[in-house]
Amino acid sequence: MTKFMRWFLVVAALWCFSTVVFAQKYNIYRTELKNGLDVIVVENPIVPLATVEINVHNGSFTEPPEYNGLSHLYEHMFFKANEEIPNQERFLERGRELGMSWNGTTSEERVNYFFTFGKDSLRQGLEFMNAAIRTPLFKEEELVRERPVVTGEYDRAESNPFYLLQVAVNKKLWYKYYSRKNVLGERTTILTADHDKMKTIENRYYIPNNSALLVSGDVKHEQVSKLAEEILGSWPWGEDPFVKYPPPDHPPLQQSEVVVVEKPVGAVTLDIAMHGPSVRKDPKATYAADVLSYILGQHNSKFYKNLVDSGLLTYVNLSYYTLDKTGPITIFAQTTAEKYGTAVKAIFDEIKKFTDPDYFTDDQLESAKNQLEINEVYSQERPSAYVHTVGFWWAVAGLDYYLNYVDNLRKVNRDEINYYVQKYIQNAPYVMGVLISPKDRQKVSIKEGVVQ
Amino acid sequence: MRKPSTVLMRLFAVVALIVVLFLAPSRAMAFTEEFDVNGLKVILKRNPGNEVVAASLYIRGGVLNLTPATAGIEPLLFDVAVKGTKNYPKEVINAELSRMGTQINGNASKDYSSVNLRCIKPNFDKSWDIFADVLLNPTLDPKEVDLSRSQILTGLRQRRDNPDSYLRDMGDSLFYEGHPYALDPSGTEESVSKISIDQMRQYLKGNLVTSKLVLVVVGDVEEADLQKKVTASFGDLPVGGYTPQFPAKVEHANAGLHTVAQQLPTNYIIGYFSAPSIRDADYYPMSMATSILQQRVWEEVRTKRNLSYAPAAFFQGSLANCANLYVTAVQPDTTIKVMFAEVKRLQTQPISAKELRDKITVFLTSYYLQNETNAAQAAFLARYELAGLGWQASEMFVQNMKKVTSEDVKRVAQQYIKNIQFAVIGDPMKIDQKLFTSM
Repeated sequence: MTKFMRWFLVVAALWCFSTVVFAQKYNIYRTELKNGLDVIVVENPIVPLATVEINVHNGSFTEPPEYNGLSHLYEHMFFKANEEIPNQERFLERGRELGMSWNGTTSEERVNYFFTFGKDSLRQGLEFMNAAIRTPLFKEEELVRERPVVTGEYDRAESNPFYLLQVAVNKKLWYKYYSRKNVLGERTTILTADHDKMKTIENRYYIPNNSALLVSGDVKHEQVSKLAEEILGSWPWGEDPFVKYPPPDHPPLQQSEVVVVEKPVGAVTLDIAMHGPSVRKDPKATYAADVLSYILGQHNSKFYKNLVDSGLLTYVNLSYYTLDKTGPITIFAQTTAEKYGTAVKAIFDEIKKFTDPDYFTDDQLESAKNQLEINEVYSQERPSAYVHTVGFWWAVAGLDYYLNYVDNLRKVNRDEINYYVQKYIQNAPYVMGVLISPKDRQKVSIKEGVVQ
Repeated sequence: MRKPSTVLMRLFAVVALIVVLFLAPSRAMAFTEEFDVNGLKVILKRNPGNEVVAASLYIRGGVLNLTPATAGIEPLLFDVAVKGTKNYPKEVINAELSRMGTQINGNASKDYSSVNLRCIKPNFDKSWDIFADVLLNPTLDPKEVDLSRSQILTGLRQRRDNPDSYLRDMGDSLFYEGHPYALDPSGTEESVSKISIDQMRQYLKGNLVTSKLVLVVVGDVEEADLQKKVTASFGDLPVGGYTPQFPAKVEHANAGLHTVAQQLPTNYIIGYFSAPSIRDADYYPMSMATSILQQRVWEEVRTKRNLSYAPAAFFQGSLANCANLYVTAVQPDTTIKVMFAEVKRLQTQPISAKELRDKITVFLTSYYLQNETNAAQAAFLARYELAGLGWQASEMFVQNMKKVTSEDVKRVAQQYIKNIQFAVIGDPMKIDQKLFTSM
């Protein structure tokens, strides 16, 4: 055995012991570094690019009122000075040197950061990500300067009447812990945010065992795992934040309520929301939820025919948004002032029929499953975007949930759909938001407040 | 002594490596082919990489095919056409599309309109059959037409609900005033409420002539199979005598401003200026110039001065092309002054070799990002074909971007960024008209 071979075997052995392959499906490979960092690789060489993404189990669900909006502010601060990059100008310049397309997003239960660049820059991209995720400086002057940028985002959101409708509904729906669902947060919190609060978030949530590194594109999982270990393997493990600071569960709604938002809009919009299942507590109901949504969305469904083909609504959609801390079920619909009363009654009449044995056919049930499965194929087409999807599921439900998603959808039966409907829709209180113009408001009778 | 076969194999490997290295930039071209079916140009990009098949049938002409009275006919027609055909009545087409997860939809832009199919390979045969029937034999049931019409009218009535969509409509109207592109392919409440079924049939009869159509398919599809399908479906269409027409450039002699007062937390601002189309050699340098401007306004307005969350410069892609300055700001005058200073800097100071080199690398990434899906690749090929350049020209995108020089960027910035037409929604008291019309 040559010296080189011996060296090679030692390195290979070390590497093998540092990571363990847990999962491989859809060209998705998952390993876990010793420090607890999940490394998820999606191989797809359709174009010679690589996307590097970090997902952190953070977001508004971790925010009490005094921190509301700071996960989002933190996301902005990520793209600024760190121990290797002196300021945001240099951050952006380094990004251009790598040919990077970049962004970050904050939602209820995850924050993600992603860079896409030519596949040959994988090492440099990982090193750039490593410095940004592990060594942010939160310089006071950069923090102060970023505040009006974030409030500018509020200004834009609040200029959109549909955002105002969503806020009005969410304040009622999540009445006890609204901050935990308010991703943008409160202006006052942003305007008073300081270095210490940013550091608190960093120390609490930005640790490898609360994060996942995802890499997609024209890459090989072996190469990524090796680089991840080399570059991010020394990121120190931290105390599980959800043991010490567990986010509260949202208490059930006690009553149904109606809220009205008046803005000069061209249609009457209804946003009817309920508490749906929490994915880690009732995963079976989440599969049933998705299948039911796709049954109702088919243009041959009774739901669509009775509400849209009848001319009562111009649009209707029932959806469930999968989350760990109570995902909302939403019926979003549009109509006119003239048809408002009849349309609302018709929607609730349809809900009552969801559990009727002939409400949907076996073919519609199978078609819904086919559509969900084929949508997965469509979403896998774009490796740079698909990695966001995989990251979302990792954060919200765990990667295994996603890897077994299609198989579990296939198992959904009528009993499971009926269970979901009865528990979360038919027998559940709701919040109904109505977005309407002042002129149309004159034409219709809408009783605001608690539904008797 | 080495065995001759080993030597040959090594030689072959070396030659193969050289071929791969040198031909790598035109890898896509090698998989793309074209053929003609009775005057219908078919472009097939064979992509064995995934299960998805994307097909788009393009009708050339765009808004040049429309009048003020027929504006909006395509969205209405395409929407109704998917609701029932001669061979696939409503219930059947709905059931089949749901069962297969197949998507068929229409699109109408100023440059062209299209009907698009996306499905997975095992469902391509049946999906194609429906796709062709939607185009050739739509039922256009009056009840369905009324239903689609009311849905589209609701959408049109909501265009002012969101300040961004309202702003774009205002900007388009101001910039394209007096030009054929002033027509909006989505139509108006007035036009859509009056379009008749006869007009829709006439539209199909007049436009489904093979000389006016281009079909682009991307996916794991054999040429012989596609040729058979196209011949069976579209082989009997009349050829017609269509000659491609392209719209004139838009040129404004003066700057312009249109402000709409609305109580909002911020002010929405968009500026339009003329830009070269893809048919013009300046397309690439101007595309680069706008991208550099985007980067600079972002840095100056957002990063350094914190005046806005969303400053931007966009390069559009139409055949009567324009580019935009865009921002939402509570201090519009201060913000626009900074943006204008960046325009001046671009027009007077050459960009460094490093900045240009970096920008080309960024363009390369965005080029590939735009070509990840089969549908996006189909659209990219079609864009060049519909512009009269031939789909092969799309393969030169990267090379053309790499040829752009610092001098080119300065020249096109001077030549095109002028006489800006601004649309503003917000507080008119905060808008200095003289400032806004100074460039």
